[in-house]
Amino acid sequence: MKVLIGPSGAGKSTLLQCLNLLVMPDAGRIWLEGREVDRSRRKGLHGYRRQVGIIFLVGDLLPFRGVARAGALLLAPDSEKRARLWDVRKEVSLRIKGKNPVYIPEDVVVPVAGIAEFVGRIPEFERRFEIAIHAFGHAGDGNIHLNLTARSESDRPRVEAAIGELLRLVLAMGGTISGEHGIGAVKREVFHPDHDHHFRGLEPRNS
Amino acid sequence: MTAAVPILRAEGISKNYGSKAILKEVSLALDRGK
Repeated sequence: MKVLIGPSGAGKSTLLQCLNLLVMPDAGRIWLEGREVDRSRRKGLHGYRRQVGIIFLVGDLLPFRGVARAGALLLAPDSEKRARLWDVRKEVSLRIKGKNPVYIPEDVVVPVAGIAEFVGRIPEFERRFEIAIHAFGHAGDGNIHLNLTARSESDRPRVEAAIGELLRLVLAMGGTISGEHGIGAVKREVFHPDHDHHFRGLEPRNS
Repeated sequence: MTAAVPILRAEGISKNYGSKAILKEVSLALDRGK
């Protein structure tokens, strides 16, 4: 295990994002298993990001308690490592759910180039609504799992208000709020076909 | 004995935001975990 330590603004998150090619470095070269990564080929980047993942952690997830924000770069070049990574991913949701009386999972997608900005704005929502938001996802396709939590049932209205605002931000960034799922009853208030360009393409009047 | 190929190697990674240099020629190698 390697650990990256440095003061705020030192570039820790930027380095992780550059290694994952979520943020394109201005200079430098990267090799995975001895093969140089061709970052000019968009198609190849998707496969690369599947093997070099980033987990953004926001909030007070157990291992990082007290750390305002953290990121981890996970390498999963073979099926065994990928299976272990999925086990960890499932455990994360269960831990968050188990610790919090109010737990609302949401699933959104933002353009890949906007992931860093979106995740970077999450603490602003935590402060504003006085709740905790745990975010992780698949950097390769912009899918972010948002787990919004609060300590008491009386906080639930604030959690629901935060969800509405976050979903509007996703749409404003050109993302989609359906994520891997549908709109359903919960997102109906926020959803409008004219706001979601992915859905608009399916409208008969636009075909 | 031949040295193992690092699972991930980066050389000379630089990143600027505007005129501010955030990363300046950072190099690292990550080995396979034991």
